[in-house]
Amino acid sequence: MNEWQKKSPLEWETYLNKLVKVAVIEKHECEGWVLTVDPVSASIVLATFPENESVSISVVLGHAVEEVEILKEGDDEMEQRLSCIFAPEESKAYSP
Amino acid sequence: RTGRSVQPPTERPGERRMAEMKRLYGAEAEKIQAMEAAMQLIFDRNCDKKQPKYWPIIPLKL
Amino acid sequence: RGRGFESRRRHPARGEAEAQRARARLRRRFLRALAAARGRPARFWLRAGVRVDATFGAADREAAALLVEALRTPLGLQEAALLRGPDVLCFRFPLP
Repeated sequence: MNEWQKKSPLEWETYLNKLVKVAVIEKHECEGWVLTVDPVSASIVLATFPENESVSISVVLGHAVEEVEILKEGDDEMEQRLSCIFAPEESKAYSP
Repeated sequence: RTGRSVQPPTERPGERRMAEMKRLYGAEAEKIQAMEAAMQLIFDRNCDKKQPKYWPIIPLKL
Repeated sequence: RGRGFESRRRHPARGEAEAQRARARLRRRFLRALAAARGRPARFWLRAGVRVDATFGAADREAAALLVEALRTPLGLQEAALLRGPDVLCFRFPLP
């Protein structure tokens, strides 16, 4: 287990809605706003806004996370924007 | 199939799983459990239907 | 000193309840993100510099395996495939 996987849910929660740079193993890098950290796999879900209306989602698997650096705090507007990405209705996508 | 999540065999696996979910998620355990079950069902059903093979055949992470 | 101890003794589960709430919120968001990924074209970065495109299908509970469809491998198109979680560093998909 790496250091990132050993963190607690309360520690992961402090990264929510922040702009981060994730150092990934094998010299990869991923940047974006943190939507969530899966407490089971420690995977980080990031959002970027390549164009104004579109959203790109990146998922970095927990085992591949080397370091997470906070670049910027999110303001209320960003928090609102991020919370709208997966509206509660999305969970129905998995109903059988 | 090795790709599935494997639960340790118990006499009452459902009950034991729910106790574990309660410990992890507290009041929201049922809701999370339902979302997980829905996801796992799609995974299992599509594995049965599509018979996917692992790619690549040899794991990259040894 | 005594007061702090008393309060901890009266509410031994308070810290645990907070952790549970955080864990549930993080997990719920993660499951929603995976639900949103379903059926979307995605790019996967694997170990050893391998990069492939496929349609995201589903993940198992621990994200130990990812089911994908229409996987474009260097040897051709594979209709359905399982990517091993430990092989995958990250993946990315667009949302409309």
